[in-house]
Amino acid sequence: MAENENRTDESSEIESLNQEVLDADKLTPEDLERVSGGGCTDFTATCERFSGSCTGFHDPKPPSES
Amino acid sequence: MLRTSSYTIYVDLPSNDEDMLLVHGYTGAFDKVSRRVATYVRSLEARRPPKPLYGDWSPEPFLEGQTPSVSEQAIDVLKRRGYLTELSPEEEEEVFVKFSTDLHELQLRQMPTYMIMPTYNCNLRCSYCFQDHMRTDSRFNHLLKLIQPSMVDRIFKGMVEIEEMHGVPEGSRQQRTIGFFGGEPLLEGSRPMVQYILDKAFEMGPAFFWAVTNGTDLHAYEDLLSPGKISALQITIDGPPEEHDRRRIYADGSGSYERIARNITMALDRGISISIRLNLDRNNIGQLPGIIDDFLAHGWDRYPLFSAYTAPIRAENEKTDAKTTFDTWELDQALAEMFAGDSRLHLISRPDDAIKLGARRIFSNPGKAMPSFKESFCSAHTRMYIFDAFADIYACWEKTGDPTVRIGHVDDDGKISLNVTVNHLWKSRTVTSNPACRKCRYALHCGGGCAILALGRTGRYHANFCDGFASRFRASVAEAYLEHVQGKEIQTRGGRVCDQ
Repeated sequence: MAENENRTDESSEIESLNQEVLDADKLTPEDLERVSGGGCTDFTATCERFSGSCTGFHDPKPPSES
Repeated sequence: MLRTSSYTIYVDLPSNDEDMLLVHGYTGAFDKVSRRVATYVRSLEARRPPKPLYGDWSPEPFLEGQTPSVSEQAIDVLKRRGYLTELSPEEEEEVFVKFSTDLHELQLRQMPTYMIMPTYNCNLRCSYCFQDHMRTDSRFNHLLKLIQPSMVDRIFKGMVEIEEMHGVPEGSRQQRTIGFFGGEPLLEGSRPMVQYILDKAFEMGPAFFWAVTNGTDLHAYEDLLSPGKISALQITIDGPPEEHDRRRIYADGSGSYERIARNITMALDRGISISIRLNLDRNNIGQLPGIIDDFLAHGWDRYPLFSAYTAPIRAENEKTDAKTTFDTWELDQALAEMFAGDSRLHLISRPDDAIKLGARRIFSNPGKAMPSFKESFCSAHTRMYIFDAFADIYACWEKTGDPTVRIGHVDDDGKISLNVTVNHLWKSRTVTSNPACRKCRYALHCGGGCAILALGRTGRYHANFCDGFASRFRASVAEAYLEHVQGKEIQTRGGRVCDQ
C-alpha cells in the first residue's frame, strides 16, 4: 500500500481524495483483504447497509477503514 | 513509454468547469484534478477502449482544448496514483488479471453462505413469477413437496464438507449465514420444518437467518421473528394496495396486500429488518408516490429497520414487453427526476445508492478508506450454496429447479457430489473470464454484471452484462462528491437482496 500526500501538485491541481492506493506489483495479503468485496458478501452484523448486486441478504463490504 | 493507464476513469462534475475527478480501476485512487491535468492524462490514452461484446460503452466525458503540459511533480503523482504507467496495455492487463485472480482466490477461501428452499410451492399465483410453471404445469408437481427432517440433516452434514472445501476447519464456530427462499419459504404449513432448520443450525453453532418471503403467512412465524432467530426479511410489494392486489394474488384471485401489511408491522414491532423490494417499469413508476403514502400511513418510516429499494423489471419472458422496461441506469435517472420534486420519496433507495454510498465513505475518511473491489458480480461465483428440498445444490436462485444447472447434490450420507463442470462454470466467472471485462476500466467496481442476464442477452454465462454501469458509476461518484462538499449527511437506510 503506497501513501500519497493530500495536496500534491505545486499549483494544487491534484487533490487526492483518499491517501492510500494499491501498488498492484507489491500486493500483500493484507492489501487484498482490505479491498476484497468479492461480488457480494452476505449480510453480517458488521454491515451497516444492505446493498447491491445479487444473492443473499448481503452487503458489499464497506470501504476498508482499518 | 509513459501512457495513461487503461483503467483510468474520468468523472465529470456537474456545474464545475474547472475540475473533474479521476478514479483508478485497480489502485483504488480517487482524485480531484484540474481540467488541465485531466486533459493531459486523456491525451496519453494509448487507444480507444475496446467495444464490448454487445451494446456500446457509455461515452467518456469529452475533454476540449489543447493538450497542456504539466509539471514533473504532477506527473510523479499521477504515476503513483496509477493514472500514468510505463507498462504496455498488454503488460497492464496481466497485472489486472493477476490482481483480480488473487482477489477471487481470497473470496473462494471465505466461509460459505447458504440458502435453503423448504419447498418450491407457493400460496400466490403471480403471473410474472419465474417459477409459475411449477405450480400450473402438472409435470412439475413433484417439485412442490416440503423438505423433510432427514433431508435437513443431510444438508447440514454437507455444509461441513463444503466449509472444508473453502478452507474453514471443522468446529471453527464461525457464524453460518442462512437464507430461506422458495417458492414461498414461510408458508404456514412449513413452520415445523423451518423451526427444525433453525434448531439444527443453532445446534451446530452460531447462525444468522434471513428470508425472501411474500409475507402472507408471517403471523405463523411470529415467535421465530427476532434478532436472534430470523432477523431480516425481504418482501416484494407491487404497487399501492389496489395495484398490488391485482398482481400478487392467491389462486382464487383474491389480493394479498392487507395481510402482508399487517405482518410487516408485526415483524417491525419484533425488531426485524424489513426490506421492501419495488419492481418498477415505465407502467408503474408513476405509482411510487401512492406506495409511499401507504408506507407513511402504516408508520413504517418510523422504524429504523424498515427500508425499501427499487429494481428494474426485466423483459425475461414473453409476458413482459421490453419497451415498458428500464435498464438500471434509466431507472436511476427516472427516480432522480422524481426524487427532486418529492422529498417523501427519499424513503426509497435508488438502484445506485450503494455506489454513491461507497464513494461517500471514501471521501469522508480520506486517510484510510479504500474501495471494495468486486472481481465477480455476486456470491454465486464465490461461496453461496443453495439447497432445495431434494438436497440438490445450485449456485444462483434464478435457476433453481433446473437440473441442467445444478452444481451438485448432497448424498444420503451427507457427502457432497459436485458436478465439476457446472460448478466450475459458476465459480470461475470473474472480470477476467471474458475479454470485454478484462479490458474494462470499470470492471472491479462493477464485477462484470449478472450472469443470468448475460446468459439471456448473449447465450453465455461468461460474458459482460454492462447495464449502463459506466454512466451509473460516473454519475453516482459525482453525486457523492457534490454531497460531500456540501456537507450532506450520509444516508444509510436501505437494504436489498438482489439488483436483478
